Parts: sequence; structure tokens; C-alpha cells
Amino acid sequence: MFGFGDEFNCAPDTVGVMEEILIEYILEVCNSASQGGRKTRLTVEDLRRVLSLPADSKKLARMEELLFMQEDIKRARAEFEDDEAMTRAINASQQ
Amino acid sequence: MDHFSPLQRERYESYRRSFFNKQSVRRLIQQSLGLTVSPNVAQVVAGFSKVFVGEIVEKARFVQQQRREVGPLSPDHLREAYCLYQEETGRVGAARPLRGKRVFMR
Repeated sequence: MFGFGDEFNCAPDTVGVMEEILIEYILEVCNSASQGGRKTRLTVEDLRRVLSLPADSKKLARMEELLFMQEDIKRARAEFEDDEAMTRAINASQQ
Repeated sequence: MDHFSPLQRERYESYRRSFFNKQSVRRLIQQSLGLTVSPNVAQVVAGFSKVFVGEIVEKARFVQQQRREVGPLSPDHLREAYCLYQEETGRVGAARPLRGKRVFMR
């Protein structure tokens, strides 16, 4: 909360209320995304649908950014593993 | 960023570094709603939830200024901010009787 504009020493009861609001929000969004419990598994598409209102554009954008980063990390890891494998192969062939 | 005051820099760092633990978010959703959530989806929910906190805190600051109050934000500032948020997004905030609904549908 300090990061977003509150004082450094936030009032503890305020933090408690923020947590309650946050939990309610997360559960409401996820319940809405699962179409009131009709689906049992939450997917990215479900979240995209519930965050499609213009009022939620910041949150949708952040979600897309995180998904992109997840892909990026996955790709980087795969490349790294390829490099490792290649290095090992080269070392092995030099012996 | 070089022109940040020490307070601004601290606030910015706090903004950048703070996060919601994805396992906690995952547990919350799975245990409260009985939904399966992959770690990646939980991470994404954690991410936009942080944006939500920001939106509420900004609104709470606005409410505080309107009332010409100072100091740390109070629970009342947050509650009014949340009301404003719901009015603006057109969502009705009260928790629905989830358990009840699912019992009926089964």
C-alpha cells in the first residue's frame, strides 16, 4: 500500500480491510470467470473474458504482460538447455 | 528517476518489489471456490490483483483529499474507495451465496 501512495507506516486496521477487500475481489473475479461454478478449471481465456470491460483495461494489460513474460522465460530456459546440451556434446567429442 | 527524493525512491522500490505470493493466491482460489488453477494462472491473478490494490489505494487517497484529511489512510477511506470502484465498474460487490448455488446445481 505504501508503494501505491499510502504512508510508510500504514494503519494496521486499514491493511486488514485492504486484505478483506482484496480477497473478496479475487474470489468474485474467479467465480465470475468460472461462470458461477459451471467450469472447474480456471483458464487464461476465462480471465480475459471477465477483464474485458474498459474499466479493467489496466488489469488486462498487466495480465497480457505477465503472460508474455512467462512465455519469454520458457523460451529462454529452453534455449539455455539447448546451449548446455550443445556444450556438453562438444566437450564430450573433444575428449 | 535520478530526480526522485529519498521518499519517492523508497516508494517506487516498494511498488516494484511488492507482490502477492502465487501459492497463497492459488490456495485461496482452490480452497474457497473449489476451482483448479495452474501456478501460471495463479501468478497472473496475483499480478492483476496488485493493480487492483493500486486502484483502490489511489481512490482512497482521493477520498481522503476530498475530506481534507491527512495521515495514513483509514479503513473508511478504503471502504468508500471500494464503493466508488464498484459504482464505476458497474459491479455489485456483495458476496454471492456460492456454496448455496453449487449445492442446488449438484
